[in-house]
Amino acid sequence: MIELLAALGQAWPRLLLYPGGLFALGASWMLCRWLAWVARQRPACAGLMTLAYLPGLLPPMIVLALMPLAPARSFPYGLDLVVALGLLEWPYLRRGVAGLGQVDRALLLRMYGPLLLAGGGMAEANASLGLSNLLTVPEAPVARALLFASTLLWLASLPQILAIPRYVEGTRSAGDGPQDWPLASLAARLRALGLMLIGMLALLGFASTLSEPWLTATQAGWLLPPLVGVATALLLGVQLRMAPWWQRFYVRLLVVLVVVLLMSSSIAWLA
Amino acid sequence: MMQPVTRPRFTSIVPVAGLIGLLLVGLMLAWLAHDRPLAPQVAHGWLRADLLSALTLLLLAGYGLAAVVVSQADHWRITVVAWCYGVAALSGHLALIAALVIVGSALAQRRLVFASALAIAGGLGLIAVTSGEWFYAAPGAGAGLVGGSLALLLVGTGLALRAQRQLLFVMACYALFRTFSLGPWTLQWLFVALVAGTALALWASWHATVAPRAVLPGWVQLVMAGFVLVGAGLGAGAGVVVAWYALLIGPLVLLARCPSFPLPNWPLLVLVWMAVAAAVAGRVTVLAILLGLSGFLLALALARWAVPPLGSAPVGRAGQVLALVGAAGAPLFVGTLAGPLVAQLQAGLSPYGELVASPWTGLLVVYNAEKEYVASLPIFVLLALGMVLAAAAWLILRVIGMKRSADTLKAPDQ
Repeated sequence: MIELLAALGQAWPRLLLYPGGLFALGASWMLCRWLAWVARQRPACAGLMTLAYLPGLLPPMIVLALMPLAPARSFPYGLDLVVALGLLEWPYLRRGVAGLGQVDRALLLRMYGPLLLAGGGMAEANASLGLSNLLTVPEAPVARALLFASTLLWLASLPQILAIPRYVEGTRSAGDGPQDWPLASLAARLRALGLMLIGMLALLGFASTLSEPWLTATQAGWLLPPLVGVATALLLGVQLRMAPWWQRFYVRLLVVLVVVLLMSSSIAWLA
Repeated sequence: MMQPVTRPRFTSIVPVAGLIGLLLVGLMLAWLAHDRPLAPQVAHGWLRADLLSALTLLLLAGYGLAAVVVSQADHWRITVVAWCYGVAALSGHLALIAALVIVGSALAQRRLVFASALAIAGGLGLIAVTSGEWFYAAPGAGAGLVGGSLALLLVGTGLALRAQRQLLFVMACYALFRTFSLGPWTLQWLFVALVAGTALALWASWHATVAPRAVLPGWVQLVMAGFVLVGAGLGAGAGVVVAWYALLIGPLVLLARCPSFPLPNWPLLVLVWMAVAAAVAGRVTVLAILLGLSGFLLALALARWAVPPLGSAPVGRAGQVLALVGAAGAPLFVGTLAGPLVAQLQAGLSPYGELVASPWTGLLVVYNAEKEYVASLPIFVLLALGMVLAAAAWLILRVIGMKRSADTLKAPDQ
């Protein structure tokens, strides 16, 4: 119990400053502005916050606060992919489908299928679900390729998951009026940032492996997260600007690649 | 005018008291058999209780009490059947276990239930006949773990599910997991259990997503039964924990058949995490993805009905509290009961996946065969951070609200 309290005492900077707290609020705002600019949407803002919003706001904030990002001091009670995804998506699902008479399962599976596959690929590559393990690049070439392809697939499935209006199939037809900006509420922005940061973690691992000869661990801790974060946001932007048919092709190509690499990796482990 | 006081009748109290008695016996056994199985010399092996028996007793009592709350009739029969199965779980003689399972099922007067009991009894009997040992704790009893006996036990479990008899399903799971104390399953039967469990979980969660509230608990129970079979099929410590945690939260799902009682969302999400993590620890990533998919569909179904109906606030709140206890109690369950249970079943388990917990820090961790970290769920940390953030947000909103109301008051003077 004492060690739990001690760990919670160390969590204050994470909760208030970085990677949660002020950083999360600022970064999620910037990400929202960037995605709105790329998608040629007006970054509408939800009204004033009230206590009723807290159940949707707290879980993504906790995920962000516990992200294993340098230069924050490491935290002994880290999260894994399933817990992080659950905390990011449960409030969103609950708000989205609570009380609905029917749910379009096929649409939801099209949205979340690639994401779950990408999560499985990441888990297989590192033989672990831990978010901190995503920062470690595996040595085996197949596992390395699987981790990279899975990360790209994770990021490629985000426009659908975040439901940026222009890129959701069938949501826009001639004569449609302006649609609601999906990242209007603070909870949705924090969720978007959390999902992007999970994809960014693996890229950060690759970047730190590549920069090892030139940068010390401390320098890499300060330099790489902002650089890779900007690169990931740019990649998201590029995906949003892709033509819909090219976007679909890109996701399917990555799905095939991840499945092939996943099978190769499993067979290599069994052998 | 005074309201007439309805006194509980003796006939309605005794079944509940019987089930509470069973619960107390289970708790006492869990304490007594915590370190090693209880097998008094004078009983000559006929009486043998370990943590698996104790947990079975606790579950029988839990399911029995939930069934008594949910159903209006049959209270006596539920209690007698629970005690019958309970005594079977305390016996070390395979023939006595089989006989008690058949007797308990005969009371249900349903052909399907009886067929399930016959299959379970046949599986246990085949173990004894093949190995030539009628006491399962005898050193040579493991020789009876042939394909036929495992097939019969799996068929019995499936029929118990089909018959929707929770007490019989618990007993079938007892028989299924008892085989691990005899020795390991062969690879093909582990595979059969994995495929059957995954298919069941996927099928049931697919239907649960669009099911109306009245039938949703039934589908959720099927998903959980799928996870139980997957837990058996993983054949490792983490799998055993998954299976028995699924069974442990089962009574809460059974209670949710009352429309005013909410489904236990948080324990079910913890269960999904356990199942996916156990699959990754066993390096069965395809299984982990399929279980993740099933878990996602289950979460979707739960999210649809996450808001309890109005007008049932006290029962709804009680259900929410029980669900929170079920989720926050997971580390305690894993640390104090499931951990020693895995140690006692070690003879038949592989090292591919271990789920451990530190009850006082609320941390659940899954390790793989190389003792490397695979997944973690810090339940108490999440709760504590949630409370701290909620308090901070409340304070900030309060201050903003006070400032705004002060500005509004000033406005008329200007």
